[in-house]
Amino acid sequence: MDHSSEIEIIYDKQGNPHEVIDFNDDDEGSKLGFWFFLFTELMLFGGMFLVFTFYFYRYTDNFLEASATLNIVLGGINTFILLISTYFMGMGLINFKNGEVSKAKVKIVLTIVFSIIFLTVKYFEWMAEIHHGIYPDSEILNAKEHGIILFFGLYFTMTGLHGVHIIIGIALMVWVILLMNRGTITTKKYVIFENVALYWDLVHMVWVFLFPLFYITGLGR
Amino acid sequence: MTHHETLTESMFIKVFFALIALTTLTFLQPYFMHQDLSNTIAIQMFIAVIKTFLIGAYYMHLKYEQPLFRWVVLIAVITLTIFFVITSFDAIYRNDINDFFT
Repeated sequence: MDHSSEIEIIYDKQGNPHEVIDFNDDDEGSKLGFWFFLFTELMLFGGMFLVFTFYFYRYTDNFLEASATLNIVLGGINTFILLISTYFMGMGLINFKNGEVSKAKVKIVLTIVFSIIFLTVKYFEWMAEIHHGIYPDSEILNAKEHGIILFFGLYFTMTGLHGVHIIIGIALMVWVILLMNRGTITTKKYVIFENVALYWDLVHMVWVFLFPLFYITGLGR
Repeated sequence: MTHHETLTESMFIKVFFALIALTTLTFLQPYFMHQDLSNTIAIQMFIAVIKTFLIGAYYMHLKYEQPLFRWVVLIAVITLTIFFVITSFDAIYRNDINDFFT
């Protein structure tokens, strides 16, 4: 069917008619699409938490023993670092909506700095484990009880996947700054920035559950 | 279009301090209010759920967005809950299943 002769009209928030040529300004649609993506992220991490819960139930003593060996100070510091980074991200978005572009950019850069600190702390934490011979499929780990092998398998997988999300987040923040400089993200049209902020909050939310389950439960013996 | 209420800077800062307080509580609970394992997990998960609620409502603006977005999240939570309930039966009864049939 040939639609070329038909004119499609869409109305903006003020009720003014516009001819549809290439409608690409549906911010609500963009956000809804992003929430669907976050839905899949919740399923991804939710599935991993499900596996964790299942094995925690079946190998409780092993899990507690392994949990007690994790460095709670480094994990705790990272929890605060991530919280502060989400503060800067959210505040940057508020600044940007208020038209304070340079303030917003400084906040995004601070978020990136805190994310890099998070990854650095994580690096030292992992390195300490690896120096003790604890990493997936290591001889020392494989000689341990089944539940401990499962705990560390999940620890490296889940904190690793979370770390990958942090790295992707940093890349997205750099991209947001580039788009601001290029004028694609403006104080009138900032849905990309909003979605990246949503993503960053999700990354924080996952850590809100990761930290107590992996680090704190070992203290509950 | 009706005017939408939006997240203010002062509210954002208030929520931040609430999150800092809850995070501190997460960190200190096992040292200052030592409980047995099931209570520790219950307290920790309770704090995590409150934090998630605050992050979702204020930091992710769900309080100010249209209801459809809240439905997406609710359906995700319900789906995960179903998975957890079904798997919990597997976890709890797995060793007894043969007894069940004999």
